[in-house]
Amino acid sequence: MPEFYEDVAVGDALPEVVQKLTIPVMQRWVASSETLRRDHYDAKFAIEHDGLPNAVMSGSFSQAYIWQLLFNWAGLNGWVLKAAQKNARMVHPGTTITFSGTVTGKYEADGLGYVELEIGLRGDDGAVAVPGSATIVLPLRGGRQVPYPFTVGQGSDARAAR
Amino acid sequence: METVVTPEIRKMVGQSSQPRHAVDIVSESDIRRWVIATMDDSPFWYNDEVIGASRFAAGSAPGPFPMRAVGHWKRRLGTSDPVRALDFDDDFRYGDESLDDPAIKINWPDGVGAFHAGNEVEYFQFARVGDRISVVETLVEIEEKQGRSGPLAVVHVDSVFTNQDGDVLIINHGTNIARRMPGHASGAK
Repeated sequence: MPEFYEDVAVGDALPEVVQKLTIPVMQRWVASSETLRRDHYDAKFAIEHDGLPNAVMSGSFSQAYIWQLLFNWAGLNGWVLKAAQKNARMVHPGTTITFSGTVTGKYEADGLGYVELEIGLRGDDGAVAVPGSATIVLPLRGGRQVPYPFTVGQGSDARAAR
Repeated sequence: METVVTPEIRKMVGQSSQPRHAVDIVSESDIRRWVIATMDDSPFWYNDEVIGASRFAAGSAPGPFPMRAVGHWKRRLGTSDPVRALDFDDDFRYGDESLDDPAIKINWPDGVGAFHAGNEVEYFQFARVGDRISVVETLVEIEEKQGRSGPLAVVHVDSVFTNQDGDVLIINHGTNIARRMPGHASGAK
């Protein structure tokens, strides 16, 4: 986990996080979030009614899961400013999902450090099922604290100023 | 050019929904269940010393939390229960479609289906215990394209989530794709 912007270099890899996707993992998410679509937790229904190979991981689960991994990497002095994802491929229970990320760019603006990342969740076959990108704000060594709350437009202004 | 976007749909671009309010205020229980479900081991969610040493307030909810808090599937007590009427093999997707705002609810032509393609979320601050979250959705743009299997529409919807004081918590830039579904010949020209 980087403490300051200067601790990060383009090409750095985030620590990979590996998790078995099981029906209990999926059920716990839909119960917590009340996203009760049957194909997200009911394998029999997904197969027999929807014609799918199995139940399907909810896109909202991958979003919440990816966000917490980014937040924990950014640390309590940083901030996850932006996270984007595409639900490119279905992920089914029985898959071991691996979260990964790589630093693709970095820049300073307005006394803060912005780190750009390519992120993704891949399945057992190595193909990225949920590709995405993210921007994390870190303090500069000896610089000011990352503001909280961030105000609307603050991040966009920084990107525009590059 | 063949299209799945009718003139009525095209006129909807720029329209916004009325604010939709969360059924419940944010509770510690909501946050605890979310953190457990995402398998997040960070002490930030439970250790007062760690929270106190940070620049964040106690009772903060994970970043994407507002998007789930105002979902259509959160049924308000006293409303009809769609689950009770389900047969064994019936589909079930949303709790209360009456919450769909006609200003942004697109009625696609017969044979055209829409699905969620992705999103980009900007985070500004956490929701907190006691907050009443609301969302306003705006149909920002519809791109008409020709895909491999025919015409399709890329629909961009911005959703601004706020707390009871009007502070912006997050903004979701969502993308949906609508196209003619296999086996359906009809559709808008």
